[in-house]
Amino acid sequence: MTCDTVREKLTEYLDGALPQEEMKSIREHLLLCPSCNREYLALSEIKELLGQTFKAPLPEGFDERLHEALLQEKQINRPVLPLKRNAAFYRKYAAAAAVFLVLLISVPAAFLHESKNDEGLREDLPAKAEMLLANGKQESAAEEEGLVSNENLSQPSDQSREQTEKRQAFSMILLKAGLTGTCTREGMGRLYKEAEAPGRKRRRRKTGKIPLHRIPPSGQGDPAGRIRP
Amino acid sequence: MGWDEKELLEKAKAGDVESFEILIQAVRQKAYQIALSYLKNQEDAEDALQDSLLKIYRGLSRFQETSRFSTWVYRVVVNTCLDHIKKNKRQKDRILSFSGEDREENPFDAVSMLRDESAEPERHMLQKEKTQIILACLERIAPSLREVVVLRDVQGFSYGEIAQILDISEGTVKSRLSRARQAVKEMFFQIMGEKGEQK
Ligand SMILES: [Zn+2]
Repeated sequence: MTCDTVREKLTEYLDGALPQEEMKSIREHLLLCPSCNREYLALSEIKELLGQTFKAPLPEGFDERLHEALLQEKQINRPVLPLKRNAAFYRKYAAAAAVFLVLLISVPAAFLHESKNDEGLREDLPAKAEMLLANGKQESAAEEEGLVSNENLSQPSDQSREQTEKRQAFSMILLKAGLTGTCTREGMGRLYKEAEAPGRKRRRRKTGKIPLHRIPPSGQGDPAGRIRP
Repeated sequence: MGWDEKELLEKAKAGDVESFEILIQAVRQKAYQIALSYLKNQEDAEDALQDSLLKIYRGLSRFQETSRFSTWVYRVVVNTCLDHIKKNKRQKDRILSFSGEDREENPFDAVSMLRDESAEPERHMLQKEKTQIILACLERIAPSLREVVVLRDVQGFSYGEIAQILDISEGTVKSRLSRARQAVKEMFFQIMGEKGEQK
């Protein structure tokens, strides 16, 4: 084996990543060739030194902070739940929307003509949608609580505010569904997300990131901490 | 993927936080060190790791069981760190253009510091110095070479795993690794030589 070939393969030799035959012939070459052997020793030292860097343990309290963040994440993303729950959930509201559609059609034509623009309807109809919802509300509220029970226990006020928000959001969903005729599950899902979006954003901003009680870089046995200015 | 891991994954996909935490138990330490190697300080590394793990928790349903969970986690961590670096650079650029400074200071440049005399015992100091010189050298090579050599020599990933984490070919891993070690070696011994002459 020539010196050039050996140099070329030193990286893989260092990692023991060559076939046995090649490992053996390089080993033999190194025993006989001081120049290649020097190169090999130098590279081994670098590899060994590199192995000692960035060996810091996880910061203290990392798991706790992550746990908090995960719980928060779970709460924020609650509307995007596994399909099984969503299917039942949407079926319920699709049924309500269908009833509403009938109601809407029975609204005097004159009324529709007068306030043809969306804004007008938005002001007038949520109350009606709300009334309609009141029948099915207990049931749906129970389902909602079932979905959130283990996450929201410590925030009763937040929860009730959210319930109100949600009810308003549903009113809008029913409205839009009634107007556009999008009673399919996908359509409802999209509308639901649209209606939900502002609330979600606000909550995210309010709570923000988990307050992280950072430990100052200790520098003890921690090369990354030590070199921090 | 073992049966237990599969079950945990199913539960985690359904949103179960505890199952998710068990799943990441084995990878979070290494993931943190990877983040540290990109971002250089505890705080940023923890931020990036937390971001990564939240992303993973959110995106679990997209995880295909044909790929290894751990490799996927590390890949997300690498990408998140790169995003953080990009964001920080933009921030820094804004601050620099504001203050009219044009020279970027390298907070990681430990070489100048190392030339100072120290009262610490010789032997211990030498080892510490060497580690810091290595870090400084690492900082001076191209990022694309650095990440490969860190994943291999610091974290001990195989060529195949590195290829998956960085989304490059194994051949590229080998050639970058070789160039990276060579570059670090040359710089390292040059600095050591200069230090020897000073004494
Ligand atoms: Zn030779």
